[in-house]
Amino acid sequence: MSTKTQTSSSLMETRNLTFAYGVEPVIREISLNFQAGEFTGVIGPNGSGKSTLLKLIGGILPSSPETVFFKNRELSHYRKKELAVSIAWIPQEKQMAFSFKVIDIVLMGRHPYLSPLSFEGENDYRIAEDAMKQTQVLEFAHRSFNEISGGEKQRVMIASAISQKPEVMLLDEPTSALDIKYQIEILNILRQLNERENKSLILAMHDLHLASKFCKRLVLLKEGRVFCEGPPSEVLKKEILEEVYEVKVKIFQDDEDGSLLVVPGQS
Amino acid sequence: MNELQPSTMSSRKFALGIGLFFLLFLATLVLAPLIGPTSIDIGKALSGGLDAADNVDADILFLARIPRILLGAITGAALSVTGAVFQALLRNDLAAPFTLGVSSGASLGAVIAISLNLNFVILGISTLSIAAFAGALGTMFLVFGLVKTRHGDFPTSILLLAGVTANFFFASMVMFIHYLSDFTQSFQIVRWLMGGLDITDYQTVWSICPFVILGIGGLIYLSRDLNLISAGVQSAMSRGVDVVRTQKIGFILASLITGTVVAISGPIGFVGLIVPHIVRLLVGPDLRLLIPGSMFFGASFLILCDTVGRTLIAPAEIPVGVITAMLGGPFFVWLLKRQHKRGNI
Repeated sequence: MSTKTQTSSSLMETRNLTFAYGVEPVIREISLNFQAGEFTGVIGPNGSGKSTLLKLIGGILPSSPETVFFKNRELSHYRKKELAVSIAWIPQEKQMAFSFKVIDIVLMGRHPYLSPLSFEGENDYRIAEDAMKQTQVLEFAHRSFNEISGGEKQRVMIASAISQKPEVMLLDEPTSALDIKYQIEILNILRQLNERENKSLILAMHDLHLASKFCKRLVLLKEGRVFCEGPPSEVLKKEILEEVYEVKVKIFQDDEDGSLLVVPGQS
Repeated sequence: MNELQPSTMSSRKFALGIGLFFLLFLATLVLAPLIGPTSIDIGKALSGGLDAADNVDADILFLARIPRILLGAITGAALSVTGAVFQALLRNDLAAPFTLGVSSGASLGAVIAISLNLNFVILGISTLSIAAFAGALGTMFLVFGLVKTRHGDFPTSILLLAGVTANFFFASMVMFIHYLSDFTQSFQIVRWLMGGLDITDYQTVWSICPFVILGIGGLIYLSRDLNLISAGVQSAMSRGVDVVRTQKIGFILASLITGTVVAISGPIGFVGLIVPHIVRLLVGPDLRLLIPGSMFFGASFLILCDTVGRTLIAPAEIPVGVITAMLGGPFFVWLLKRQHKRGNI
């Protein structure tokens, strides 16, 4: 993996990225490369900077000059709509202040393609419909977003991002508030997007087992720094996790798919 | 494809919705002048045969009722659109020019202008309007600057407290200025603070039209960006909305139209809270419909409130601000309770 990183030019890159909300930096000197078609999980303890890193890469938070690049061009050099058709950032599902319908939310993904005062056309509806089929939310297209379940909301958010037709999708803890059934459902949708449409995915996750099961590459953060990165088998090691999470762990391997299960060991 | 189209936002649904609101507005505009404490003979008023001095019916219709109704329409439209836009920008349905203290900021501006005898006209714009606009804009930046968190959120409880504080503070400033002013100014200030739509010249109406039209037009132009912001600031950024620019322009245009109408009509509360709510219940939260809908519905609403005020205890009149406050107070409590139930406060 590391040799590939050096030979091909990267899709996204951070160079010595540091960020602070106030005085204390929450992201410290992070340099990372992301290739096209990668499925990356960003893991780490609470407060390690996972969500913030994603927001910086997605242009949601302002980054300092010469630190975040998409296709070797600095993020701030893109026009907003230009960036939106390349990178979609998907927040954790939550209640909205106003009761938009599911279809309205999905169509919002078409915003970067529309000029002011214009309405969504037939093409936009077709794209939205396809996205909703893909995430299995078409049946409640006309329900209020605030009335559907958490797992359904997350799938609607993903459908909205799909209709944005980006190359990169950044997802902030897409499964953390959900039951296991919905977690698997959503990660399978994401895996399909990655494998069939070659979308690059970067997920902030805290479930280490799911991260090892679905992600091809993991980035482990501790206190705003990259502690280590690589394929799940190289990152999810006993001595690494014990140092980062400051707890004794045991690691079991699933014989079927080789995914790793991390459980607390004796304290 | 076909199952999606009909019940969602399309240009046809948009045209239908706006058309219905426009018809309501038209009906109010035609019927309201016929209602009043004095019954008038509309045929006689419209017959051009009589000398103006003799045609009492025409005098009442054209000099008393119509300018007042036009001012009511513009004021109602402006305050309602502002309310709808504030609610979207702050993602909070308790936001309105009055609840956020923006109206009182405008009032303070106007009262300062009166007390300094700055009541004259530059380039067709009264200094009162300019002062009210400055007051509205200043309050807006003050309140939002105080409330905005580093994540770009505006927590409901703090927002409301900031609005209440601004209201109290500006009210005490107004009282202070009032206390210091001489008799003539004092009378002017009181008269202005009572609010009301009782003007008798068309000049005033035409002079505020361009600003309100410009402001509402600009906000309609921004309506899809505002839509996305109302669904979430960071999502809006990710979908290509220039959030900071849209917020700035939105707040400035909203201050412009609030200041413009408050300078003429005085502080009229709660219109900007009630109207967007009713329209949202009817057509949903999409601002492409909500803004024009609130414009027409708000115009009708304030004309109706004022008609009630003119006729209820005739020949005496109830100021329109009293009517809207009597409706708006309980309405606000109901909204507050609903937000509390949802766990927002």
